[in-house]
Amino acid sequence: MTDESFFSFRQMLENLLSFQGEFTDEENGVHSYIYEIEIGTPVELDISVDENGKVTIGSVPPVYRVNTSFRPSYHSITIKAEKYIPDNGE
Amino acid sequence: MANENQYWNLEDFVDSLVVELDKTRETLAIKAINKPLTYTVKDLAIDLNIFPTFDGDQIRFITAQPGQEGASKVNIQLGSITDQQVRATTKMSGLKNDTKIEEIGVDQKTQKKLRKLGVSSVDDLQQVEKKQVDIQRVSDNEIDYKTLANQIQKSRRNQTPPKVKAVSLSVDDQQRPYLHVRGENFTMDPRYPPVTVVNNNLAEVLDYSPDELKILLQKNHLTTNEAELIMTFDPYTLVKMNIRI
Repeated sequence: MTDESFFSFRQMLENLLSFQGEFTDEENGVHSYIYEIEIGTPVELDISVDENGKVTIGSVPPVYRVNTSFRPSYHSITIKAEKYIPDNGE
Repeated sequence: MANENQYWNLEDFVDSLVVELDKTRETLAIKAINKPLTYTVKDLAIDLNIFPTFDGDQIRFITAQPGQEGASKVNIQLGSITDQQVRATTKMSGLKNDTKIEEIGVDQKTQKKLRKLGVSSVDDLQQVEKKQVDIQRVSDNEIDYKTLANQIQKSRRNQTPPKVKAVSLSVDDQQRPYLHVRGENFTMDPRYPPVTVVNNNLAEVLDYSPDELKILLQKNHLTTNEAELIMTFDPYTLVKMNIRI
């Protein structure tokens, strides 16, 4: 069972990609948006395995910024995301 | 603080990662219905600090725990590909006529050897054969190809067993009596003509096809009202039945 202080991997991805990617400058009439983004972050992982060998990945980006002598093992993740365009091109 | 780390194998880990990634894409696609500017994962790379272990059979990994040093690094990169690319680069598994290696009754050791060679089904094995690869030699004689080929044939035959639907007594043009046996899946391999025995005496097969058999009867076959009929259609099939004449 995954530690409850960890997100599922999916939740972490969704949270990382929930940002406001649109910038509007009404005064100067400029409208920009992010069409591609790369996010790299260290993550803590909690990998649990059930009796059938099914792996569940729990993950969380570092939440404490305190330097301690006993640090978690940080893995790293890099996500490249792009603006979602539906298959039918709409 | 996470629970105690557990050992996992790479295939299961990547499976879980792909499932999570697919779910993320689905969620983001739904979100895009009402929020036009939405982002979807194009590529994902993950660097893991792990300790590998080999139990003589498979390699498993455990993620490094806090304070542990000297861990190995594994970098997994997942890219997104289109449905078309999936179809072009992936062999369809689970096809109706495709038999898994474990279903043909080969021993565990042979199964593992075959898997290491990328052979997981009878169809895979046929593809290798087509390329004229000597499996026995490639596996350092650890796979007995003759036995394997026999088991495959046997397994195939089990999927299409012969079925007898009717047996009747008739006479041919020369007024000789013969047994007319009708059914399905009798002779499937032209290399093996059927052999029949009636009351412990070999009987001549006049004519045969996958759905019928004509067995010439001699006097020594008709000693009693009841006769025991034995038919073999190949090395893996034997049909034994009692008939009243």
